[in-house]
This record gives sequence, structure tokens and C-alpha cells, in this order.
Amino acid sequence: MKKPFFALLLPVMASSLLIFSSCKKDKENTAILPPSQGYLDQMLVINEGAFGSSNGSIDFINPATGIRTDDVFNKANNRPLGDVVQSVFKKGNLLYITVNNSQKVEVVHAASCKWYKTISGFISPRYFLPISNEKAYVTDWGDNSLKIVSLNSYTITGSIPVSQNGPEQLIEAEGKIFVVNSGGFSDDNTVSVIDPATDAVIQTITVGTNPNSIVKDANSKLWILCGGDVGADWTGGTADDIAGSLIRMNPSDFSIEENITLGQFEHPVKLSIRNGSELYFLNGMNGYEGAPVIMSITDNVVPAPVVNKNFYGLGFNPSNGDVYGGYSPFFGQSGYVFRYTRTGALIDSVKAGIGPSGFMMNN
Amino acid sequence: MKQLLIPVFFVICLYAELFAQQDTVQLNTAVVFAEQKWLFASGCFTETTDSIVKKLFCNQLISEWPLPSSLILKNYGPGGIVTASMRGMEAKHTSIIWNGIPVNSPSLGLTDLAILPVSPGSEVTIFHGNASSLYHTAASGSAIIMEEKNRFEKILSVNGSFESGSFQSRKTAVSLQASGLTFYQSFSVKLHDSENDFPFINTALPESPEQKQLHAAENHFIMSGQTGWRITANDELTFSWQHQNSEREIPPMMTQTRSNAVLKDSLLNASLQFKKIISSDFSIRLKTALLTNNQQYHDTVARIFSESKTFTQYFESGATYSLSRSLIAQGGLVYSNSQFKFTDYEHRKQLEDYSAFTSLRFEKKKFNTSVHVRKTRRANFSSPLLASAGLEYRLHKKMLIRATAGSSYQFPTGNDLYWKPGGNSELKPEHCRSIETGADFFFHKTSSFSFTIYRNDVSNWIQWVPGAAGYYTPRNIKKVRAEGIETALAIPITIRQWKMKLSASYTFSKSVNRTVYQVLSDDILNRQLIYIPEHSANSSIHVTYYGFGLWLHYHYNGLRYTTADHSYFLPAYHLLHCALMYEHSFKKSKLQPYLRISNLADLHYQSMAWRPMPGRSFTFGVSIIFQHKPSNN
Repeated sequence: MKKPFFALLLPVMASSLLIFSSCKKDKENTAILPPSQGYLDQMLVINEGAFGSSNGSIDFINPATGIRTDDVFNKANNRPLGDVVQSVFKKGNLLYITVNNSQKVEVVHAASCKWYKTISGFISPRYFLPISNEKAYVTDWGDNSLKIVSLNSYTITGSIPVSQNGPEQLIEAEGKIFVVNSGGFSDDNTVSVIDPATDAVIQTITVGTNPNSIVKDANSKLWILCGGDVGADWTGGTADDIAGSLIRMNPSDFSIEENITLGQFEHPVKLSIRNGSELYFLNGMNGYEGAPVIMSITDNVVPAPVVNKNFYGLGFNPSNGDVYGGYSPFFGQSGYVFRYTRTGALIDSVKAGIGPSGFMMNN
Repeated sequence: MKQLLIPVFFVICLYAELFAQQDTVQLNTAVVFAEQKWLFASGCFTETTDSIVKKLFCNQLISEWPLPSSLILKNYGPGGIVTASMRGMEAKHTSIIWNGIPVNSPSLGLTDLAILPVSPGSEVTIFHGNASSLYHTAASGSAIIMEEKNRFEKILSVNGSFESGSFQSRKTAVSLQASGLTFYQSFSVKLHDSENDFPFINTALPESPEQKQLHAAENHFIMSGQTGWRITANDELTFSWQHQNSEREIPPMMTQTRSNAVLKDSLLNASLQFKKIISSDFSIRLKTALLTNNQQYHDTVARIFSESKTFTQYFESGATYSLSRSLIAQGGLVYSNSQFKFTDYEHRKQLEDYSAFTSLRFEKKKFNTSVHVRKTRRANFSSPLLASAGLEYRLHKKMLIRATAGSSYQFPTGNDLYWKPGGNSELKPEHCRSIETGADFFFHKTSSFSFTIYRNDVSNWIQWVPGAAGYYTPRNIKKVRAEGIETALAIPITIRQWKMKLSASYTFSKSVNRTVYQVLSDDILNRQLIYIPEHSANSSIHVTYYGFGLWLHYHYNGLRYTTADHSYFLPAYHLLHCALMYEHSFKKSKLQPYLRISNLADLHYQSMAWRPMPGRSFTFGVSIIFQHKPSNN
């Protein structure tokens, strides 16, 4: 007797149902296991991920071998890090990973990347800065505030409105906290000064247009990088551009000691400092990427880039000054990390996660 | 409720007309009145929604219908956006045709099926492949055709239905149809609200806890109607309209802790169409439509407010002429003017399109063939002559072979051009060349099996790609090749009082970047495009015995990559849905209670990355249908 066709089909239908699914990482990239000694003394790569895709990640690159271990948070914890990884701060043996569009800070062990705590309740967290062993500040771009975080309970205990647009990087100097207000969805040109004893804004200082990053040099002076404005077309290079600038400020009396104005179409980003004396930043036209520049704190003009290639992320090896450039072809695919000597000679390159935007030596 | 009174009053008036009108009017059945999608679609594969699907889902939004496997849905979850694509193309390549009018948003270029109203009297037909030369330049992947025909027969029908289901979902729908021999009137109103607070396993959190979906409530108010007037035996006037108001909370991703975003949509479409048969071999038609859409996105926490308003005027005139018994020609002109204003545009923008088209069909006993030509002009760009041709040949009484080939142009949408930031005014239109061939086999009287092999080559493919500054920007990705196989099987079986229908479909779709536009992007070369599965399949069984019915539906969606270099992917998933129904008739009325169980196996899956989908859900509904057909005597 012939079996009806659907009688054959039913078992096929039924046998196909035991599937549990969620977004996975390609098998090709999960083959490399974490090193047994952990990730200490390796270069941490922040892969921002595509907005809305929850594919931000953290990689480690061994500077000696150039070997990369990808997506370490996912491997260590069997879950994704989140949507738009913004920054990482190391305090003691913990890493504080700020995940912007997941509205949280993940706290992991620096050596293993194993999860320790999650601090949630933010709107759009950007940068983490510990004030003491008990307290930290996190800039919250979404509601123009600094959130006060207890490092005992890992909860938000308060909020400091800065009343400016887009609070971004922050740093401690002379017992005060300096926060650059990067402009948010509009423009800004201020640095907010906060007294950590009272958690109050004590001063708002006018600097250049849209300050985006801040560092402290060996002389305890602050360097503030202002991106300028790319104009109405959002791409830069047009007549309504406002030039970027590099400012040196005395944190004691808030005076501007030096103001180096760049070209009208130059909109620098991602300032960092090596050994308190060498400024590293990206100088480009569109306001989010640029070519790496290394500049001494004694210079009063911005030198030419050491490499004639635009990067989205910038880092350096503190010991020898090697330049790490994060390259993102576009945010729908993996990026690359290029390593150069501080004079611009290419050493090697390695694949990264999506949108490599920052680096930190994990030591 | 004032807006309800006018249509209700009109239906009451028609009810009087229904019994007063006794004259018999014979419509000229000349071939020139035949439908465009059948008459000039030689060689194309089309499928019309199954009657059981229509019965079970007619009060649902179309995104909840079990659509064919060849139609790939990108579903952001209950309350979220749903778009459809076909044959390895994107949602913008699927044109939604409402009563002959293309209704894709001129700014987005696509339609959100989650809010697309479908009137109960509509037939839904899926046109596979390049329909651009027939319908609209944007239909290079497929077309979903929703059409309500005037039924000039004496009938009064009232249908009321109520549904209640899991996750605090409620739907109420009432529809009326009153028609006589010269008038046709339909009206429907639907209310739908749901909290969508379904549980799911959050694999993005430590220890994967079970959570309830947050901030996912939706409510919809939908009205539609159609008035048809047979002025004389040869003249017909039709007025159709649809109105819809929706408010949807946008839920957070699984990697987010909260969301405060709300999306509000308001839509009003109206069309007036006139058909006239001049002689037995010559007819004309005139169409005009106004399409308005207002969408507001508001996120109070992130302080984002975005509003888009679009207003489209559409005019079409056409004529069909039967040159001989076997040769028919048609031609027409189309003008559309879309104006839109976004908070994210600098100024109000406008797109004006002028099209001219002509078609020719030649038919003999064993074969038919048709040829179409269309040319479209937009401000600074004129498309080359778009042409397509199709052929059907009946090799045997049980076998039909078919083939088509054609080309189409896809203009950049308003957002592609003007969105700020990211809009790219330098974009070129996409150019698609397509070819397909297939065969239909007929066996055991009513059973059939079809297969189609297709290939689309698209140059200057426009794709929004995430940009480094946190916003997306459209780019002409040089060339995409989409090719694949579609198969469909239908086997109805009747044994005494048992009626069964088995249907199954399988689609293989390979859609890859053939060239790329940037340095260091070889990683995306010759890779399957994101969110397009290579394999998808559906099968369903519908069994009826007297008034009882059982419907089982299986859906398979294959692995989908979520990044262009395939570094991330979503695994395949399998879903099983079922429904039990019963129909009891009393004289002129029918009572139809039903129970629908979706995702019977309670599987956790994602259609879009990190957007959870609901597990098993139950819906109980009941429909009451009153139908009165007075005799002509």
C-alpha cells in the first residue's frame, strides 16, 4: 500500500524542531583559545561593533607574536559583550568595559576576562573613571550627566548634571575632575570641572569647539583636543567647517596656556599620551577618523602624520611607542589592526573585530 | 467614532439598493478586461494566498500570515518592523501593489508589513521575480499584490470576529459587504492591541535568565472600504480607501536593559479608478490615488524625535486593445509626485516620476508569450528602455514550461538621497537584469508541482552600511548576483467526507557580492548577503471533516549571516504552527470558532539578531458570518 506523501513529511517536520538559536560567532574565529597565562601584558583592542547589532567585542593581541585572540568576553562568558563598546579602564585586576548602547558597564577580571559584575541603569555611558576605591564617575552622554557609581555595591548612587552637551572623556587633576563636553547632537565648547568631594560642578571652562578627549602630561598640565565642527553636511571639508584645536590648560587656575589651531578642514580625535610627554592623536577631515600624529608636548605646531593612512582607532605600545591603527572598512565586516614603528614603518597587521576603535595595554 | 458613521450609512443605503435592483446587466466579458497580472505575465510564477490562510488570518496583519517560503521576512519581533524580500533581493525590491497602485514609501522605498492593512475582501498574490516592467520600477525582486474586486452580485454579508490570545493580545474586526448588480460596497474596521509581554531566555545576560519582553505594546486601528459602481454595462467606477493608525513601543534588544522609544504611524490611502469598455476589443482605464503617511519616532530618554510625512499623488491612464483573437496590446502613462518632509532632511523634498509602458501578448493554443517595455524619467535621470519578455509553452497536457527575461531600474529612495546625516546625492540607480525558467507539472487532476530557476544580476546595488561615525550611509555596492531555485507542491486529496490539502515549498537562494567598492574588503567578496538564508521551506497540511478542520504549518528558515564577512550569523530555525477550527451553519449564518497555536514546540529563535521572538502562544477566536443572497426571481 502506498503511503501518502504527507505521512513521510510529518516525521521530517517533527524531527527538525529541537533547535535553540541565538546570534553566533562564526566558527572560523572561535578556534583560537585563550592563552593559559591569561591576557596580561597583551594589547587590548576595543571593537566598537555596529550600532544596533550587538556585535561589539574585545580582542587581545600579543605584541611579541602578533597573534590575536578574538572576542574574548564572549569566549570567557558565553554571551555577547553588547552593543557599541565605547571604552575600557583598568583598575587593579579588573577591567571596566563601558558598553554604550547596552546602557551598562561590564566589570571583568583583567587576566581572564571572566565576568565579575555588571553596572546598569545608564542611558548612554561613555567613559569610566575611579575617584577612589569606593567611588567612580561614568560620563552619560544620553542625559548630559556624570553617574556616581559605588564600587562596593556596583550600583549607581547618584547623578551630576553637567548642563552641557555630550559629556565624554574625563580625567583627574589637582584633586578635581575635568570632563570634556563633546557636543552631543549639537555643539559645545566647554570643559566641566567637578569637585569629587561634593559631587558638584564648580566651574565650566570655555575651550575650543567640540572637545573630544583630554590627557594629563608629565608636568600635570591638561591637553584638550577639540574636533572643531564638520559643518552641516557632517563630512567636513566645506566652507562652514570650524577648525579643530589642541589646547593646553593649567588645571590649577583653569587658564589656557596654549591654543594650537589646526587647519580649517582638520578635525582631530582620540588624543592619548605616552610617558606623559608624547601626544598621539588622529588628524582627519571627517571628524571620526584620521592619520596618526605623534607630537611632543614641547611642540607648538602639529607635525605631519607618521603614517599617511586614515584610522578609526589609535593606540600605542607604552614601552616602545609602536603605533596601533584600527582600520574599519565598514561596520558590516571585521576591521584590521595595523602596527607601525613610531617612525611610520609597517610592522604587521592582523584582523580585528568590527570597528576597532581603541587600544589599551593590559599591564 | 464619527469616522465610522459615513461608511455605515452608505452600507445601509446600499442595502436598500440591493433589494430594489432587479435588472440583469450583462458585463462585456471581452478579454480586454482581463487583469494585467495574468494577461501580461507570461512565463512568470505567481501564487495566490490559500483560502484556509485567508480564513484563519484575515483579521491579522499580513506580517502574521504564513507566507510562502520564497518570501523572506525580516521580523524585529512583535510590535517591531517587518519587511519582506524575495529571490535574494532586499525589501526595497519588493513592491507592494494595492489595487494596482504601488504603495511602497517613497522615502524608505519599502513597506512595513507590520502595519500594512489588508481588507477582508482582498486577494493577496505573490508575483515572483522581476515585475518592474509590468507594475513599477521598484519591483525587481517581487511584488505583493493586494486587490479587492468589485463583486456585482446580490449579497449582504456581515462578518464579526473576536480574538483573544497570549501576551494580552486582542483583536476585534467587523466587516460588511453589500452589493447589488450595479453597486458594490465593502467596509471593515479592525482594532488590535497587545502587550507582547512574552517570556524569553535572554542569552545575552549572565546565566541566561528567563525574562519578560518589556516595552513592546502595540495598538492598531484599521479601517478600509471600497465602493464600486457599474455605471453602465461597460463602465465601472471604483473608489477604495484605507486608513490605519498604529502606535508601537520599540522593545530593547536582548543586550539592552531598557527602551523608551515609541513609533507612531498614520496612513491614509485613497484611489479612484475608472474602467470603460469602448468596444469588444478596446478598453481604457484611468487611475488616480493619494497616499499619505506620517511616522513619528520618539525616544524620550535619548531625546530623539524624528518625524516623516509623505504625500504621493499618482495618476495612470492605460488602454488595452485586442488586435486579433490571439494578439492583445496595452499601453499607458504614469505620473507620480511624492513630497516628503523629515526632521532629518534640510528641506521638504520631492520626487517626480514619469513612466510610459506598453505590452503585447500573443496567444495560441499551446503557447502564449508577452513582451513589456517601460521607460521612466526622474528629474536628472532617465532610465534606459526597460524590457521584459515571457513565454509559456504547454509541452503536454500535464506539463507547462515557461521562461522570462527582463531588466529593471531601481531609483534611489528619498532617504538614500537626502537623509541627514548619511544621505548620498551621488547615488546611481540600481540596474537589474533577470532571467528565469521553470516548469509546472499537473497530475491526478488537481495536484501540481512547479519549479523555477532564476538569476538576477544587479549593478550599482544600493545598500545602507553602518558608517564609522555611528550613522549609516547608502553606497552603490558594485554588483550583486542573486540566483536560486523555487519549488512548490500542492496535493489535494478527497476521500469521502475527508478533504486534505498538502502544500510544500522550498527555496534555495544564493545572493552574493560580485565586486566590492573599498580597499581591504575582499572579505565580503562572493559571500552571501546578510539576512538572506540560502535555504527556506514551508509545508502545510489542511484536513477537514464535515465542519471540523485541522491545519498544520511547518516553516524552516536557514542560517543567515548578520555581517557581510560572515563573522556573525543566526542559526537556522524551525517553527510549527497549528490551528483547530469548526464551522457550524444556521440558515444564513455561520459560526466559526477556532484555536490557533503558534510556535507549537516553544522554540526560542531570532529573526533579527538579539531581537527575541515569542515562544508558544495560543489564540482563541470566533467569527460570526451572516450572509443573505436574495434570488433574482
